[in-house]
Amino acid sequence: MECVFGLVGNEFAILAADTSAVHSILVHKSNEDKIMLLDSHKLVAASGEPGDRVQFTEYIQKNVALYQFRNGIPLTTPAAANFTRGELATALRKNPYTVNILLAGYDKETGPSLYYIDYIATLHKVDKAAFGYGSYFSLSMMDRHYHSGMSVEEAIDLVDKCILEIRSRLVVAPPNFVIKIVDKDGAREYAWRESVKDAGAPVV
Amino acid sequence: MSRRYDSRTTIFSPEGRLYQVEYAMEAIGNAGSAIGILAKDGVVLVGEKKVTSKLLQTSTSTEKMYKIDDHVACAVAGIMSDANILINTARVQAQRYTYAYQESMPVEQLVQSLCDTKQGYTQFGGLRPFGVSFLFAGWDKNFGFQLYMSDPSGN
Repeated sequence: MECVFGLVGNEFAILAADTSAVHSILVHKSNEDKIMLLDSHKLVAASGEPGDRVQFTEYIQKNVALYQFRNGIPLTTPAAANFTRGELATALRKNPYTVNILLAGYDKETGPSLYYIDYIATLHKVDKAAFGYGSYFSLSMMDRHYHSGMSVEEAIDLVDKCILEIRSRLVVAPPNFVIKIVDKDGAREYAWRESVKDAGAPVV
Repeated sequence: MSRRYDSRTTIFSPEGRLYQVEYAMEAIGNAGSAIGILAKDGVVLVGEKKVTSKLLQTSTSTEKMYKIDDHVACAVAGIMSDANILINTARVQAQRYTYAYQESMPVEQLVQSLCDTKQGYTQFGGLRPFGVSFLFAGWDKNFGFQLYMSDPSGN
């Protein structure tokens, strides 16, 4: 099952997500990037039904870009989070999107922030959050080791602890993870944690 | 001046003018003045309350000034009934933004969306333009204190 989690540190926010694309018992690929750059200073990690996940996050991403083109200023992270929640809420009573989202962003005035948005349009501003079966393990690890104002090294160390826990304790643990970070310099990929590489072409 | 081209709002004259819009601005010229001044630490709006008839009670109402949202207000010049419609539209647009984004609407966007509404009346529907000009005064975190003027053409 999909594991997505994140936390807020000192002037940065981190999101980690597994990279398996799964259909029933088949793993389509194990390098699927589920963390999308919403704009220069925002990240969205999504888990849930694959079609909805891509469709909805791209929809939000394009609307965020449209706002910036129209108005010459970017949306703040809380505004983007509330907009996303609103779209989920509007769709909820007709045909809901089954997507859970963690939205991390950095605003110059207010610093880093993390928003938990689930598929029935719950919105919470949080310091640490997780979705999926992996959340049982990653939330526990974060509850134990998290403190506010962590440095990047401490936060990555905590993320690795969570990944290790998920790998060792979850029965169908995803093998690979991607970690992305957002801070004053923008949103970018930080690292991959791979324990299984996709098999390349066979050497003849 | 070709009078043939001025009864329909949505048609250009051969000289490339929209007469109905210009006549609307004429109507505003007869109204009481409104003045706005942008300062470093605020915006001042002044409105002249014209006494149209001695029979009317000297109103203590704010017939020239209206609050659109907590951070935006406007002064009005022109046909008051037209102004009321637009002010209501502006208020709804401001609240709709706050509903979607949980933040105050930036002043420029509010003025922009109201002007888009006014522009519609110069292009389609065959309806006359609004005979109102506005002075918007507001504050937002992007540009601080701001003062905007908009006229019946939607500019």
